[in-house]
Amino acid sequence: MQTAGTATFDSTTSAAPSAPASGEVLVETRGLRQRFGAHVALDGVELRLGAGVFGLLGPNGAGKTTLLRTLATILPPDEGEVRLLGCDPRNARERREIRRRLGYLPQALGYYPNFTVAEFVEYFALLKEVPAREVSRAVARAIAQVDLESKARAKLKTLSGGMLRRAGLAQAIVNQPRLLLLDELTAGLDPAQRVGFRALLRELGERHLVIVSTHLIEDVAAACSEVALLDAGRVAFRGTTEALQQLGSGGDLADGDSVLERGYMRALRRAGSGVEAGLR
Amino acid sequence: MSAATPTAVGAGAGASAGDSDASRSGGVVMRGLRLLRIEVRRSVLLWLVPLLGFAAAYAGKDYSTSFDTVPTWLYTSAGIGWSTIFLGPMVAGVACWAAGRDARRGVGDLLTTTATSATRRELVGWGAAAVLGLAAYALLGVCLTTLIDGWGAWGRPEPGLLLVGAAVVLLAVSVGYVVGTLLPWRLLPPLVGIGVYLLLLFQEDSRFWEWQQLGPATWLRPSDYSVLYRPTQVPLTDLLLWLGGLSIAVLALLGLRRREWFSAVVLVVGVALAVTGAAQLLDAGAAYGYRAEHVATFTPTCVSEPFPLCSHPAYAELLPENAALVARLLEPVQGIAGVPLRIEQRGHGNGFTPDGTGTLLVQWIGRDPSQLARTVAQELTQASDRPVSEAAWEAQLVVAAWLMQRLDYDVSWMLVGREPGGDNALAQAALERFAALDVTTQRTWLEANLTALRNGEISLEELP
Repeated sequence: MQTAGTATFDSTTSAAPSAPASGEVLVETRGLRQRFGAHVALDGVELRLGAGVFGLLGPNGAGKTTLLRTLATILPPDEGEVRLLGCDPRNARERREIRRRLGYLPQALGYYPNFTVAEFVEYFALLKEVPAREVSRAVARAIAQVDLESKARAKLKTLSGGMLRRAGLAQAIVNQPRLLLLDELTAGLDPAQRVGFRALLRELGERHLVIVSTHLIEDVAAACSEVALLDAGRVAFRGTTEALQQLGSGGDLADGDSVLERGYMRALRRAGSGVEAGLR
Repeated sequence: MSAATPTAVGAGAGASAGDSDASRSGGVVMRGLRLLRIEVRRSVLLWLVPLLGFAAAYAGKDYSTSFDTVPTWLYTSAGIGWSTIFLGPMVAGVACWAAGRDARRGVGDLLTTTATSATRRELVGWGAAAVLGLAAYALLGVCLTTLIDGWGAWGRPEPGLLLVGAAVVLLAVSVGYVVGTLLPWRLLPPLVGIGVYLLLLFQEDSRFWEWQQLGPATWLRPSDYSVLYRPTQVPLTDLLLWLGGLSIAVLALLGLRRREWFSAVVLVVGVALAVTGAAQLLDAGAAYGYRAEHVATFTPTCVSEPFPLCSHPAYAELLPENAALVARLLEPVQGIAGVPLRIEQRGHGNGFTPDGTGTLLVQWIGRDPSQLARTVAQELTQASDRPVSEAAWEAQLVVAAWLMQRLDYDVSWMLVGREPGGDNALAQAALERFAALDVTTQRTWLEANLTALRNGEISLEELP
């Protein structure tokens, strides 16, 4: 189990907000609610997060993407409070300040097929207001971090799915964000690429807050210092990955299941989730 | 993945976290230019610039060369500006397509999370479209001046006329880009192009004659620009206020939909400029067109052989061919009283000078010398200052047609008839009868009757 550097989460299994044991609170939500018509996507989410890699788990429709889009300042909260990097995103000036220090990789990456990798990353560096004199170095560094130097001049339309994902990550980290939001970062990647991405996540989490939404338990195990399990818009479990493992321990494992996966399912069951299949 | 340390761009990290607003604002221009460079390099318009420039030049060429005139720079400048009625719609359509890129590519969320405001980002996109639209306009100018033989042969380019064309391009880009941003539908770009084309051409419809002065094409018709007049006083400032104001007002809609107060101010400024320009254009329209008051004075260029013919210096290269044809035209009437001894080009109207020197003033000398020959034949047989009966007019036309027929030109269209439907059988018969006379009889009759013919005292039936 990897513990990421300076993660400052508590280790309770409670769904209540937990204060970082030390260090700066980078994300704080109180009573966060989001609705789309009659559907409640987030229902009173409470979070207090400092630096580290934070995993968001949950079944489809649990609200992971909605939470990330809210934290990415795309969706204003319908109810509740959100503070990001010490700023209030409802205030235009503060929202701009947040966005300068924000990185975001959506689940479905939109991109410009005719841009080269370097142009795509530079484009976002400029839009994120990286100082002009720093842009070239920042772009080179971000591309190097995702190991795409050999494709820097390739047009995006010529890249494989995995390479596109890396280009997307490069644009997300080009401004060295203090808050990095990654939606299904490793989806569609081959095992080698996933391993590489996890290493990068751990590295980024040493200085910044990285929130990763994922379906893959092994991503959480390998990279996250703490996880939250969302179910029907609520935080069903909140704690360290060790705590989730602990929840899954005891009894015999079915073939192919990991302790973490069983902890995930048990946490859902404990929360009264409708996701019953396979629960033991 | 690389294990590069985050501190490799320590300044970048620090800057992203906390550099001052002052240092950021210092880089705004530089960042804007770098964004513009990327947008220009990767814009769909970049590939279309040659196509648009050449297509508009081709369309403009057909119109511009339909006038048989000397392609001075004055004429050429107007022609280049006028051709934007073809380029503008094309550029508007492509700008509309380019503006819908973010929506088509699903990049909206990603862009929303960046610090640069959406309006500023869209203005960069518009800037790229504008740069490339103007590049297409420049290419259009190059194409027209190189493809059309002799274009821009005399004088110098008229910046004012070219500037109006550029303002049309910018307005077209603005309309296309804003519509494409607000309504990023795939089928919209061709509709936008057609719409802009109709708007630019609406002044050609006589039902809207009151508003004609608002259409840039009204002021840029190449046929209106001649070196024989003092360069037309185009209300340049008013046109630029009108077109520029419209562009500004349209662009303000980008920010206005986000309720940015500054956009409201820009909208008000744009509308004020446009209204000011429009009001002055409508006033100026009343005075427009009375070119006779602005006849240019110039030192003519002349040839004395085979016939004395003088023209504006811009027409100098046309003189030998025109003089030769006029000499052949006047050969059967040479020496008869009332036949021109000298022809000189002037800015307005045709007719003999009253000084008795036998100098005929003509307005148009074309690359097709038959134009001048026909003018001379008509002026020789018709005194333009006195009304004549229809029968006398027919007789005059028959003699003029006879002179032209001797030069092997088809003259049937010159003859008119009194019968219902304009049947000119009588005139045609009179022409054949006169042409069949021997040369001596023709000359004798003309010596005796040319003055009476000019004065309308001889009818068709009285021709020999």
